[in-house]
Amino acid sequence: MLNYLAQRVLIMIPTLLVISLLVFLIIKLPPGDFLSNKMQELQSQGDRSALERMEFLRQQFGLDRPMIEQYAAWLGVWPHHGEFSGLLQGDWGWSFEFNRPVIDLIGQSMLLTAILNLAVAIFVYMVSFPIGVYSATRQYSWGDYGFTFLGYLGLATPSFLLALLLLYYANVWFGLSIGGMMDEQFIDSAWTWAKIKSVLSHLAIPVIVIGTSSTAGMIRRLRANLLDELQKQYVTTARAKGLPPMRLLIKYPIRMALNPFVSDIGNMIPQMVSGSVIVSVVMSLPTAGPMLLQALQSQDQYLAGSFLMFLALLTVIGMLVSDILLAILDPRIRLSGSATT
Amino acid sequence: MTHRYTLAALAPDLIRGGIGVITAVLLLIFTNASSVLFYIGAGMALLFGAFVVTTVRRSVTKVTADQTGIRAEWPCFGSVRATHIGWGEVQDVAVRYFSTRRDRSNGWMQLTVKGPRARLRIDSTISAFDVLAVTIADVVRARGLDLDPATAANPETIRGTSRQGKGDPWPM
Repeated sequence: MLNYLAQRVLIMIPTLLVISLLVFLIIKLPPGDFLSNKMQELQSQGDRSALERMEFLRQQFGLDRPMIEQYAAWLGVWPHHGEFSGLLQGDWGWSFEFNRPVIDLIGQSMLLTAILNLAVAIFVYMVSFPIGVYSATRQYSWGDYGFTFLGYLGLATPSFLLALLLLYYANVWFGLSIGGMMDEQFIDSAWTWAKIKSVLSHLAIPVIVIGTSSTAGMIRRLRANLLDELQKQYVTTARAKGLPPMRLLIKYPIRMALNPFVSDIGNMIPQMVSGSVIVSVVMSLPTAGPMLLQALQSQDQYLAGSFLMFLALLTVIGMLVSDILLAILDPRIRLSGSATT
Repeated sequence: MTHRYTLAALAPDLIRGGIGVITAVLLLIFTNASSVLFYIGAGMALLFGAFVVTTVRRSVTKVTADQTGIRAEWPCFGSVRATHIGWGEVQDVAVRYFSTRRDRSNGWMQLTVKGPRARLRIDSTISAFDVLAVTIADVVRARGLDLDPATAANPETIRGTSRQGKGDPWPM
């Protein structure tokens, strides 16, 4: 396992370096940047003090330097004239749009984002696991057909449309307030029991909307994997030896069929931060996704770049965790692969 | 039969370990001590340091399997340390396959033999690993121990692909 861990961690280093280069290039691809756009706007208004401030920020963050130097300074491997020291030094930069340090902005929206997406993950796993197992063990039954139909319906329904419909009916039928993640009076207040209750009551609809398509997909994959496992020889042998069906199911095939659940951890962690951007915009959820969208639209390069790098880091860490769990869960050699023996 | 790790087989691991240690040290030198990355660098230094130490130890380890059991010995600061597990003492055996690729190709295997007082871990980079893994799986199966599906399946795969799988397990 130490060998596996060392090899896997070593792969992460060049992966993150390549991602950082790609992120920087993509952010820099459109002509101009946030400050030059803002300077043009202020020039047309004749605002001298704001222009000086923009020029100061330009020099401070080295935006007047060659692109390769900007990249190295952003990464934190190149000395910088201003106060900005780079990602490797733990400095995420400054958001020009919000006029605040990036780390403050990301940290602010992170808690609600994590609460929402953790609730989504729990919903997806709790719903899809029993349904997937039921569908596989009772293949071609009425229940299986019913859940398969619901699954396709869930996959085919656009999340934003479902969000609009549920918002309307939740308000008309149950009197729930539309949008947001808490009642207005709690928005900037400290955490109290009343605020927690308000957040929990607002969670239901976003969780159902965001979780529906993932649940449907997970049910399909778990059903297919479990069906594959149930037809293997070791299951037949175990049945022939008289192992009770439930014990057999839990001990071997389900364990092997859990691969999609574990594989999804890699995607789940970054999704917990940035997932469901469109649904968040539609439902006015104060999560990190809409902020990332805004940063990309306004070319707020440090906010967008640091945010994307943070997501990339979470993805790579998520993949590492899921790969380690998969290696523990299913350490079989594949016949199609060739082992170094 | 005696099995050893050849230097050629361990060279990629030594190179990986070296790159990892150098990267970790660079992170420790160039990052701010209050930054999270400094602690990540420290964790990496520990991980790759341990990896290099175990790889070096593997390069001097000799594994012998005979009628009595399995024995590994390696020199350690002037003396020779050894672990022996008799076939009658084996409590558990695991043959696990690892791959860093998404399609799980080009991986390696690890054989773990657990006795009452010690545990032996042998990587597939050792000479004639296929003979060792298949033989030990057979010995354990003959003793009536339960093997998990992966440990039961992996030696069978090796047996199917190996030229030596059906030879004399204890050649003189």
